[in-house]
Amino acid sequence: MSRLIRLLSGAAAGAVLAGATVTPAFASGTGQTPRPTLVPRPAVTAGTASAPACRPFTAQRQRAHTDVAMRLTTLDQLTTTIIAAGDPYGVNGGQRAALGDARTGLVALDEKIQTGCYTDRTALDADTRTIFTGYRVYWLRVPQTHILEAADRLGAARQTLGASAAKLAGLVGDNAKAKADLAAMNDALANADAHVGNPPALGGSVGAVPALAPAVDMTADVAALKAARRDLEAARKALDTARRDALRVVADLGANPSA
Amino acid sequence: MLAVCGALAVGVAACGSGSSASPPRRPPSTTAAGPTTTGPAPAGPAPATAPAAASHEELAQVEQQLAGVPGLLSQAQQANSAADPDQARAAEGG
Repeated sequence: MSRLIRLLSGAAAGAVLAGATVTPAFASGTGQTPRPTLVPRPAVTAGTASAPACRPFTAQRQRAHTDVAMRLTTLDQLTTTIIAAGDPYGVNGGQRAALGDARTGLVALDEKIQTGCYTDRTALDADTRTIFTGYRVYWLRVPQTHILEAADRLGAARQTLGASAAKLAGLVGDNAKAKADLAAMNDALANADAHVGNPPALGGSVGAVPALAPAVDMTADVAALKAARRDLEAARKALDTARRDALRVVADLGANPSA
Repeated sequence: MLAVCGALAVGVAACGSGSSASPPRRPPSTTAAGPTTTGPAPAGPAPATAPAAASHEELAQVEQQLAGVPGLLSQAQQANSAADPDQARAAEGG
């Protein structure tokens, strides 16, 4: 959010928003390809030669509103997702706050776009572009939230397997095969920990995900997201290995495992 | 079991447990006299079999715990699949 505020204040000097009553103009010049739109010469209202008239830009404003509405729906869905995921790593509160801040910011931006005075398309383009670059609801918040959701599920599995390993450690006694299989289980758990961490410590590259923020250039964010996904998959496989090892220990000790 | 219970003069409490697997309980001492009703519990088969039964029960608990893990791993995999930033880029538009 502070990033957005810096963007706003940095761009204020370059924007002309006659009659605007909300926040200053949003940043322009994001490096993205601008929409192929005609930039007309500002109209001049009779009698007020120095004050360009506000222009409707109805279609663009409506499109912006639709884009915002879609994102608000998605943000609400993501919030529901992260609430339901449990929170073994204790990072979901921050994610919920980020999603809530994005919602608040987008609502305000939509209001500005719908009610603001735009004398030419440049300022409107800058504001509508911020719907994308300032929030990155789909490019960042969706994968970020699902990565944390995946980590939560793995964290819950890790807790279960850790409890099972502790219980089995008290049962293996002198059973050499059971002890060997339990050692393999603990190795697999350590492998999983290296990739995602043992709750409540979020680890591996997944640990960097909660702090990722929207950016105009998403190169670094995407690299972090992809690294986290690889770690999640490696952790998932390691935890599945640990589960199988645990079942072997149970079998070694004379039970009748089902898998 | 009924016959055994019926044969005990004071066996109501023991039979009332309803567990045929439980070792026969010594009836509570209802009289002050009778030295045979006091003292340490007699060593029987119960102490020898209890640890094995407990271990089996604990193993069953471990199995029950482990039964929930595949579901969690599957949910994690689905969530991770939904986190593909390349697909997310396409959805972002702009």
